[in-house]
This record gives sequence, C-alpha cells and structure tokens, in this order.
Amino acid sequence: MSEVINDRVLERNYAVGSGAGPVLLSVIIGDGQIGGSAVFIDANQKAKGQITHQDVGAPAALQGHHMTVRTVVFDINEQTNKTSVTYLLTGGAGDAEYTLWFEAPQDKMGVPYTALFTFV
Amino acid sequence: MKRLLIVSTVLLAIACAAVAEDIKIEDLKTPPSPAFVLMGIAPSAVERPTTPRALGASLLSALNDSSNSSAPKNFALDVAPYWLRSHPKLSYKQYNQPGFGQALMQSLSISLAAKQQTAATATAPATTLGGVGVRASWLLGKPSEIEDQIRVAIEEAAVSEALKGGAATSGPLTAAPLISNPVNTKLIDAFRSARYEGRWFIEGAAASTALFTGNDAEQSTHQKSGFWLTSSYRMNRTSFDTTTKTVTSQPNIDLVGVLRWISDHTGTVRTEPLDIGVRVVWSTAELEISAEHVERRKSSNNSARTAAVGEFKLSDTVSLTATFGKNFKDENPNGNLLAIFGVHFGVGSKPVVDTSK
Repeated sequence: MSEVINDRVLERNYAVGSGAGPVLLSVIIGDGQIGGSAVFIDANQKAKGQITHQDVGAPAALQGHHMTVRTVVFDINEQTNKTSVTYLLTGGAGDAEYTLWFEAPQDKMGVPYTALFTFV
Repeated sequence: MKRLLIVSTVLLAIACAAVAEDIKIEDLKTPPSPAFVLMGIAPSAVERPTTPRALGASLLSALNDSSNSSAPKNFALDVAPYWLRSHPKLSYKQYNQPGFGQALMQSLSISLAAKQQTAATATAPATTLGGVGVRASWLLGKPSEIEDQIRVAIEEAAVSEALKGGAATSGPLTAAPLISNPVNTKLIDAFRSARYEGRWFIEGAAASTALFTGNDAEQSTHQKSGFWLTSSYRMNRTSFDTTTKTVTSQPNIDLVGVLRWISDHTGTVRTEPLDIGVRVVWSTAELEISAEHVERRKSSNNSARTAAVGEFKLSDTVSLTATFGKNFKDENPNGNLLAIFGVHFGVGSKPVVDTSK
C-alpha cells in the first residue's frame, strides 16, 4: 500500500496481524532536506532522531495502541522549498508506505509533520 | 530616461529591502542564461557554478545598448525541470554527494534569452538576438567536517522541535505551525555556505544564439554557439562551536576558472575563439564583489576582457548587478567599454508561478 498526499498531517490504521516479528518504522526525509523525528507509543516516547528500521513493538503488544510520529523538516535545500516525509511500516499484516509533502511558503523554514497510526 | 528607470527600480527595491533580511544574495539569484554569455551581456564571463531553483528570471540592461528605449531589453527565463516536482525518495546524502547521473538531473537548467540588438529605424527593421542555453553541474568531494557538524546541529534542532509536540491527542489532527526563527535561519545559512567549502564544483554549459530581423521568426541567422566548463573552489572560512552551536562565518572567497569554446558566425569568416578565464569572488550575505580576466585566443582579433562585478541584494526577490571594465574587441560594434546594469528577479523562493500543483 502506498499513498502520496500534499498535506502535513496523516491519520491511518495499520493492521499488525498475528505475526511474531516486530513492527518496524522508517521515516525518510526527502527532497534533499534534513530534519529529525520523535516517535511516541500512546503518551510514551519510543524513539527520536533519524528513524530507520525502528522496532516499535511486537504486533500483539501494539494492537489497540496509537503511534504518533512527529517530524520537523528544515528547508536547507537551496534549490527548492519543497519538503517531504515518507513513513514505511513493515512487520504487520502487510507493508505500508505513506508520503506527505508540503512546499514551505518561505525559504529556510521548519516544516512540522504529524502522523498518527492506530494499530488494529 | 534609462537612468530614470534604473533609479526608480533601485528605489522600489530598496523599499522592499526594509522587510528582507533573511535571504542571502546567493540564495536569491539564478545566474544569467548561458546565452547571455554568448551575447556578451552577462554580468560576468566567468560565472560560478550554481544550483538553480525551479524557476528564475533575469532582466539585464547594458548601458551601451544601441536602442534608445528606457526599458531593459534583455530577458532570460531559466527552468530547472527536476525541481518542478517533489522528490520524496531523495535523501540529503544522495543530494549532497550525487553520482554523475543524479547530479546531471538535479542541476540541469534550460534557459531562453532574448536581447534587442537594434531598434527599428526609418530604413531598417528592429533586430533581436534570441538564444537557448543549458547547463548542469556536479559537486565533487566529501562534505567538510564543519558541514557535518552543522548538519547534526540542525537535525538536533529538528528533533527538539518535534519533541515539543508530544503525542497526538484524540480528535482530528491539526497541522503544527510552521517554524521560522533567526537561530535556525543562521544555522541554515552557514550550512549552505559550508556545503561548498573545500569542494570542487564543476559546471558544463552550452548555448546558441540567432539573430532575428524584423522580429520575424522566419528571418533568422545563426550567430554563435559555444560550450564551456567552469570549475570553482570555495575556501574553508566557516568555523562552528559544537558546544554553543554558534557559527562564525567569514566572507566567502571563491576561485573560479573557465574554458570556453565558441563558434562565431557573426563575421564574414567563421572563427572559433577559445576563452580562458579566471575570477576571484568575495561575498557576504548581501554583497558580492569580484574581479575577472578572460583571454580570448584563436580568433582573428585576439583580445581580453577585464572586469569588476558587483552584486547587491535589495530584497528577498530582487538583486542588482553592475559590471564595469573592458570587453573583448569584437564583442560589441559600439565599443569595448563594458557597462552592464542588471536586475535579477528570483521567483524560486516565493514562487510567482505555483510549482506545487
């Protein structure tokens, strides 16, 4: 499953299934920009920084919980004000890929993105 | 009348400058079209390689233009197709240390340029020079230690901002406010400059021009074609305190060299001059001053161009450029005095054309 959305917020369900493997999250910052993320499971901070294949928990333990991913992208690319964030979720019932993108109205701005996943 | 227009433009742009403090001249400008170089009206004959934005436009007015009109008669529009859309899979590392193919795609720009060569008279129709140009560049070498340190600091600032939001609460999500503060802007400015420090930046460009008589597309004659390689090297001038996260920036110093081959059909006999030039550029956020010297060889009339170039940022979208010096002997039938005044409008930072759709 893959979606590309021109927005800064995303709410989706992610089916964790009944597998044993952990659910992994990667956050890819695109358009040659740089930034960082913070990941929360319900109200608890799970990870921060550059998120690559981050183990967010076992499918059975995640079911019914929420994961918030907040990412701030700074427009450091002098060739474009476009920013984008791609969320990759694997280890559940299937893989999911969601891309949010947004063009900063001014050069050098910080662009916050928020994604809320509900594990079902 | 021409002076009145120039003064008016300057005053208007100075008024705009009152609210424009966070865009550097380097961010603002797209270099003139390569065709302007062949037309002899580019502010510099040794342009530093650059990274073009999606769209750029230039108006240039040479003081020794033969036309008597007050309006600038030289226009160029640059398009960098790659940046017209988003590239979600392009990481910073891929962007900053691209392979040859990726470098070509992300730096390719195509430009169209026009210059009124002569105004219409009672006995002769107006003539216009039209040109098309392309260029692409490649940033070589590894990032400097300073660049890495500033990148880490920006990433940490991003994480800090992300943590402020905390976990999302129930209910529909709302987008957090965009972030703009002087501390981050200063870091980004330093980062952009440090990105080139200690690295070679190579650009290839090609252009061709034709003369249109009577502004009739059917009445065109080929004038010049050329291609050239430009290389630049930025000296390490930035320092960064990782403890206090403060940047100490000195004015940039760039060394630029160019090797240009031209096929010139403007005379009775075709010539193929070879230009070899050097330029030293000193630049701050608002001001850029440079000196250049270009030797033209293998032409029937070997000569040189020596010029001083000044550029000044007036607002977030407007910069002025002025060039004075001595041009090649065969460049302009009206004399070899080089006096070019230009206004550059950057439409990339605050797009006039919405490229997001």
